[in-house]
Amino acid sequence: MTATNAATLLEFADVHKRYGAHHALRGLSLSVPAGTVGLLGPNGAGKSTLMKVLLGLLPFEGTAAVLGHDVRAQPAQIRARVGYMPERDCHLVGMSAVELCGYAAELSGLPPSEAMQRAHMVLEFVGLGDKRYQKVDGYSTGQKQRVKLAQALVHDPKLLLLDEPTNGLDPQGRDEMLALVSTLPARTGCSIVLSSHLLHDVERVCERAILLHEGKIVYSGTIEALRKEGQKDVYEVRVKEGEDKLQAALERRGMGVEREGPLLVVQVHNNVLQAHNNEGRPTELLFAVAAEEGVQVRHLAPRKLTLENAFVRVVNEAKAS
Amino acid sequence: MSAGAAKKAAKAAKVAAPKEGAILDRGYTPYAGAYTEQASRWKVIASRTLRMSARQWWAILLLIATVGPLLVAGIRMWIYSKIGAVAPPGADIPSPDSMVMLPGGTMTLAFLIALFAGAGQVADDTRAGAFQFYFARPVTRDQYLVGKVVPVLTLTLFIALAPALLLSLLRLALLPTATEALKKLPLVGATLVTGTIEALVLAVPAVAISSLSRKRSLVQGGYAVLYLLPWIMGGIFAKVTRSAWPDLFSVPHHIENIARFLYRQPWGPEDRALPVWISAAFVALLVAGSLALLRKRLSAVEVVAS
Repeated sequence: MTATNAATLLEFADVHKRYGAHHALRGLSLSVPAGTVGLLGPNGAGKSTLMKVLLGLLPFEGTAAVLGHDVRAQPAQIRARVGYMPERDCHLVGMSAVELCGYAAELSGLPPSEAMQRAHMVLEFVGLGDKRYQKVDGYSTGQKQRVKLAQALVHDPKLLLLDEPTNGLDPQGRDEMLALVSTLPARTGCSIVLSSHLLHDVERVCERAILLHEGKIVYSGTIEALRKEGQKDVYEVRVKEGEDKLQAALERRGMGVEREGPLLVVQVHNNVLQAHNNEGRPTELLFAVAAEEGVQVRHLAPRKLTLENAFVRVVNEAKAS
Repeated sequence: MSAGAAKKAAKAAKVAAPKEGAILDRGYTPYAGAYTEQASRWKVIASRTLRMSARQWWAILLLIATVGPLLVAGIRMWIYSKIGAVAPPGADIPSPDSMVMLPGGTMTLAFLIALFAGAGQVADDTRAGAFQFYFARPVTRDQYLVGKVVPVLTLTLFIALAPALLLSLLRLALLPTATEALKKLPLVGATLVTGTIEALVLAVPAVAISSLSRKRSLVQGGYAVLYLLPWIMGGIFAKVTRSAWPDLFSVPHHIENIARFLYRQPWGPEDRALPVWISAAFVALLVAGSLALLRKRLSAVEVVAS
């Protein structure tokens, strides 16, 4: 594959990766436009394997392109245009921040004088201008995270791969890091792939999300659409009294009901509506059941899902299927 | 520009000028310059590593200490050449040529610099998680390997070669005629080959052992034991058994054996030495095995944490 569409960030077609008997990636196919993308999934979902494939570090089956470059044929070109901020500590013993970033730039192909100029620039950009001559060994966790971001940015990458960028940070540090990261696309023109298990981080930075579960993509699209997708058949109901009676009645009719204090969170699947000849009118069905049971409804509204709810729901659906 | 406009511009520049000491976010500028060749990345690693190593106290100390053996051997060579010129034929005076071969103490200094410089090369990177720093960039594992071996080799080579090379040139200079100097020219070749072999056999295993642990001190201990134990034990058992075979795993024995062959300086009547081809094979195997081990260890490192 030699994709040439510069606006396409990632293009995967039937990508498989096996480690012996373990099938880490199972036929991933997707096309992601340039922008900010969150890579989500529980442990063992295949996020790290996918990152390795993106960086051209692993052999795999299928075809994949990053920034228009074939992963298998042009891994060096990809790594020259990608900035990777690893999850774990990564510094070189005895080096100051400015030396580290200058070295990083040189390794990415910048001439020494340009590399040093950009090292100073990115360290000021990430807010470490006054600490740039200190050795990284003695930095705080927050400062180390910023250096990791600086070394990933120093060669002006077109794609930033951020692996748990707020790992180990206190709430204020996390907030500052996310604020910095969310400004990057506008200020640097780069795209971002953010791998995290913290949904809040992804929600704050990314427009799109890729959800992985057991090596498969269970969702790929905008975060807004993911939320809408999740909330279209989930309703919250509050009644004057008789919650137990209504819950039992709804469950008898095949609806999923969860209790959140006084609220009943009801999932109305399409097949339930079809069975009751109420297709497209879930609220009518809910009112009808409540009336049959003699329960007075005080509040009935579609559930506004958080990304976390949507994520859990999509993963549960994937597990069920 | 009119005088008024110039005055206005000067005033605006004065207002915009930052206060002294103020930190300015100069924003972000995209890079539009040229890129270096991908194949040259090992040079970036090697030059940075060499600079980092050469500014360590132990490197400075050991490099300065090299002057000692050079001076002692130089003075002895000068004395032997002067005495040799006036001594009667058959007098028992050491050959000035022997002063060029492994000047006293340089092998120990070369061992020490390989120990200090080599031990941390891969171990420090493993401990600091630096592989993800290197290999997430357009740097191959072979480029990393070369970039890490070359600086240790350079430092070791400097100690192993520089004094001997200067002494060999001094030896040529001390000869009375140009014809004699020309005849002694192979001395320089022997020096170059011996120094290179010595540096290779000391430096490459040090870096290879460094890939086995994340603790620099453990690597240094392991390297010292592997180098010193066979040498000491081999020496003792060689004396007891009156055989050279106990020296089979002794690195200094093999280096000296090859050096004596190249400089045409035979062992003493009491000494026992292995055939030179065994020493050459041992050295080749040690260097090749070390490189293979290093390559294998590097091919297994993880870049993205799972």
